[in-house]
Amino acid sequence: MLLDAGSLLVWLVALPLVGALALVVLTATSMELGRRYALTTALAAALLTFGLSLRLIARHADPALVVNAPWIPTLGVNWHLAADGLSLWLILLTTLLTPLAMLASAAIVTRRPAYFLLLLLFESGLVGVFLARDLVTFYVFWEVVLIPAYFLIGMWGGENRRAAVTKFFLYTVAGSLLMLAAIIGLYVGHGAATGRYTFDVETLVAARNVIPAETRQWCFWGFAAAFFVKIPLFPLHTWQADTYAEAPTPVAALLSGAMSKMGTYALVRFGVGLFPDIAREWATLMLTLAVVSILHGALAALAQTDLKRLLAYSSLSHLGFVTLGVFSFTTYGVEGAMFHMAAHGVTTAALFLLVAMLEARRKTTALADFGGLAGAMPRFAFLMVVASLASAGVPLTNGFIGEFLTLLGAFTVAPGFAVAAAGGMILSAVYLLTAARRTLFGCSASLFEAPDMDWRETLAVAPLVALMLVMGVAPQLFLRPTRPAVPPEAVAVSRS
Amino acid sequence: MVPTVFFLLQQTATDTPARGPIMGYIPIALLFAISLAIPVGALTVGRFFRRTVMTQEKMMPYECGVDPVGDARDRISVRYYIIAMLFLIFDVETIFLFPWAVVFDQLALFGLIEALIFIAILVVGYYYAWRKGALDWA
Amino acid sequence: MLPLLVELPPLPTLRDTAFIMPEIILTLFAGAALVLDVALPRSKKHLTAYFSLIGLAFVAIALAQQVAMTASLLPISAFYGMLFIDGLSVVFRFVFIVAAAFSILYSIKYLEFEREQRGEYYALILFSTLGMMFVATSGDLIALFVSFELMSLSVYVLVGYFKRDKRSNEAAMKYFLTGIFSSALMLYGLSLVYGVTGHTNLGLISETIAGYVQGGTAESGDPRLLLMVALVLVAAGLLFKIAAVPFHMWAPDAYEGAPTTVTAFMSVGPKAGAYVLLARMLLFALAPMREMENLPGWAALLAVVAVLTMTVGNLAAVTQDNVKRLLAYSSIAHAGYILLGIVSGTDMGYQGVAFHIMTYTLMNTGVFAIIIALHRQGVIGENLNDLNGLFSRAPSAAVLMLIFILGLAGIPSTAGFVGKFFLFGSLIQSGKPWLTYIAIIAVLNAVVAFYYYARFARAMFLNAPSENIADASPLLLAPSVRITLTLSAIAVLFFGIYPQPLINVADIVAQSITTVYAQSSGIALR
Repeated sequence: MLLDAGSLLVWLVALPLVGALALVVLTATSMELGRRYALTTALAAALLTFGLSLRLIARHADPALVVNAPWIPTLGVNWHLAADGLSLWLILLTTLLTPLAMLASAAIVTRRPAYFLLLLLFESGLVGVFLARDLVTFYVFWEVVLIPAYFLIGMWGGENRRAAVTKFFLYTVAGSLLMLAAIIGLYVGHGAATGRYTFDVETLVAARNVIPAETRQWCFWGFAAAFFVKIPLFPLHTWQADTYAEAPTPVAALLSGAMSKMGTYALVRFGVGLFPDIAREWATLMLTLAVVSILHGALAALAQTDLKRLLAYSSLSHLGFVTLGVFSFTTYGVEGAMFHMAAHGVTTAALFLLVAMLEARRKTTALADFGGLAGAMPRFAFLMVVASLASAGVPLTNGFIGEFLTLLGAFTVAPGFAVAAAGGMILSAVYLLTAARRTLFGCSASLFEAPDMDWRETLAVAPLVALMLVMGVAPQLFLRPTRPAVPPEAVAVSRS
Repeated sequence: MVPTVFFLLQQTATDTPARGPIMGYIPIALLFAISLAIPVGALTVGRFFRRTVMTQEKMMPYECGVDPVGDARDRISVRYYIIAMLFLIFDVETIFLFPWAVVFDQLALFGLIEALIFIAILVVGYYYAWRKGALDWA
Repeated sequence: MLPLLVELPPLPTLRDTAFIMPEIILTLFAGAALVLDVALPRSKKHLTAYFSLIGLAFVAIALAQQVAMTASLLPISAFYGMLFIDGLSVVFRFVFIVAAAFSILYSIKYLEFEREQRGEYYALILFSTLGMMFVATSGDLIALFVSFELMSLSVYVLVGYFKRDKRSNEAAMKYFLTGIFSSALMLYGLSLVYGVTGHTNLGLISETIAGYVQGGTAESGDPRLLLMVALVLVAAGLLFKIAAVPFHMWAPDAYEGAPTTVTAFMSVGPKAGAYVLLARMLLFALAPMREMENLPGWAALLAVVAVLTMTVGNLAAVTQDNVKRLLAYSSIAHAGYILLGIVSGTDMGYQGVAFHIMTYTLMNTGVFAIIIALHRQGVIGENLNDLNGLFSRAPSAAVLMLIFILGLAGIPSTAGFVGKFFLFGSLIQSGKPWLTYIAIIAVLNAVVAFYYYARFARAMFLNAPSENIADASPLLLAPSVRITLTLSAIAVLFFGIYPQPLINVADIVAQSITTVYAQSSGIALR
């Protein structure tokens, strides 16, 4: 049966992939046809995910939402996908952002539909990462994400895209290869101890105590390297600003909105799931790194003169909150982290897409080139202000809930860190509102007649802004499905 | 000296496995020594008995009968090497055919066919060289 | 007094002849290709290529008859143990056939273009393939060496095939001199092996050495010392052929100077042949010397070589601008990875070796095919810059090239990843701490490799096409080449996503390595 619950997951991964393959044929034909086709595929994937999430919200742990088939029996690799409350919002986020990014790309991409093909591949890889429950399956998707990202940035990016993309590529690859070594280490450690060679995450989590402690210590750092690069976390963040700034802006929205969540999601599911004791052991260091990321990101964002770089550093700062929540090992902290992942994804993507619209009009993203836009583009100004407020964490927006919960979690175990992180929250209000003020209001040197957002652009951002408010007003709606899926290891250890 | 040699040969012939791999090479060393001694001895003895008359031709370095005067980097036709190579190939063919001929009785028809195939392979090469003009000397 | 007529063992029958049917057919076609070349007029010379391809097809069909024989995993001995046929030999002979067929296919247009279309070229490739096929089936030192030389000599000539091209001549001379030097070393080593053990049959050698390694012979000193010398010499000769550090110097020059089609061939065919010989010597004849008491075994020796090889190969590749030199260093690095599988000594490692060689054949010939297609009159098309903007000039060629390059880099979802996964994984699986450290070095190496493989992607997709008149002319991609390349690319992706079928094939090789060794005494003589 092609439409039972399990194959729904396979379709979720396969649909963008099949769409991308079909685009190969369409590449030869018209640009417009390819674009429409890609958009349709992405919307279909979004609908599919929406259906899936309704099902998941109705029944938290749906045992039917699993695919587990032998893939490489010789090695004990399984094709194991499953969806639960942890993956739920992230796959929804990915499938939602992809069509929106496509809508916002009309101005950038004029020649080749290959751009859309790559976006679909990117989507497929991301969804795969969020669903995979076998370490090899997970690793394959993890790397697959990188290839379209490389070409999207490298072929459609800004002036210095080549240097930026090489840096991005090498950082990520170095991290993920260390993770590969760690995966093999776990596999062998488990196999040697139990005689059963498997990459299955559930089995490895259940049997984690049979693996020698030293092996696990090494493996933890292998995983951590990959995740910290991807999030990114200080001091592995130096690729981020360059990459986001050089990436085509809709792609930057996806990188910041969805791709960075690979790291934080994997940190919860695999980092903490597989190594709760070791993660706990190093919690102080991790909390320090998280706080340094928050403050460093916020301070650096203050100093930026370019909107995209500003958003990149703001992203570093916000994902620091997620890490803070995860390593607080409290229910509030972890739930807040999961919530904040989705919240930050929505907000930052909206901001990047808004910047993309400015860029489409003026071919620049430097702060100094804008000012007084509110008069010419009222609709734009409204959306921009709401998104900035949400990102700054003003109450009644999603940013507030996420940051509040993570801080609450951190405060119960490490008040000092929480206080320092709260400073980052204040700074974020400063730089975001300054940026909004300088682009939208004030007497500007460059008053210009720009058309306000057309229906397509509005369609790309309005749903995100609506979501920010919904998430901010009714957070329970989003927290409830996640709660049962939070791995017990992530909170139980802290009580001991 | 001769009895000693025979003694050593006997020793090595009987004791080879026990003396390890190196001892087995003693006969070869002896053969080497004898073959060195014979020409050296003959030339040395000759030196005492012959009369020496030097002429210009005799003083010239010996080079297979070719006059050695001229540039050392003289070019020799490539065909020379090709002929030499062909000669070598057929020389080797003969080496293979000798043992075959010795045990021809036992090999019977099967051996005959095998040898014919062997020759046929060489004939292909010969035909190729011929058609490519390797045998035309002009 | 020796009797003049020794008592001969029973003659080989037609049964034995049947075992070498693929080789017989190949010999016939290779000889016929030579004769055909003489008979054909100048304008029809390319027909020799098609004739050779048909020949290879027949060889493959004949070889397919032997597949069933390996089902039992027991090697079959023929011609008094001179040859034996096992899973390894059957699988690798298929690899050789594929490598030869691809090289011939990709050569046709190239040679036409260079006005060097002659039948000898194809005949030499066939003869070289014949040598490789016999390497894979030989069970005896002499047969191994002779067939190995047949393979090498043909390639020496092929490297110098463009006799009016200085670089080709220089490359051929270098390759020939270093090559025969290594052969001489190896031959000397083989003679020592024979001297110590008194056998040329691999099985008997293995048995004898196992005796020495376990007990030693008390009175006559330690034969293991002489065996160590033999081992080092044989290994040096073989490492030369696979261009492992420190015997790799010839590779970049030979790869660069040789006609690109020959480079493609020698980077997969003869190289795979050398791996087979390495496996036969180290994993069979000298297998008891893997690890010895009080003495370093070959595992330690080879581990050092493997680490050096991949590190030097990868680091040197980073700075190359010539595509052929770059690929030469990349192939050096890959030689290092493959050696890791032999060092690990596990089933997983052997599977990795076989898997990686099979997929490497597809990927490397594919990359070279695209480079051959870039070839222009006047513009050699070997510089990395010549790939600039290939995506906008020839999107399909660029995408194909990308798939092969990603495969070589070992990105997941390509077959290259699975091979590396097996090779690196086998080190960790072996459970020895020092091998785990090597695995980490290997992983770091892979990062370096990503960097220079990414340069290809960067040139083809990110850079603008260079302003060159010659760029305007279309690529040299015949429809047949295009189809073959597409199929190879699909295979690289397919076996990356669903590798199990190919793993099963690789497992045949791994099983035959372990089985043959376990039963070495049983198959020595029929």
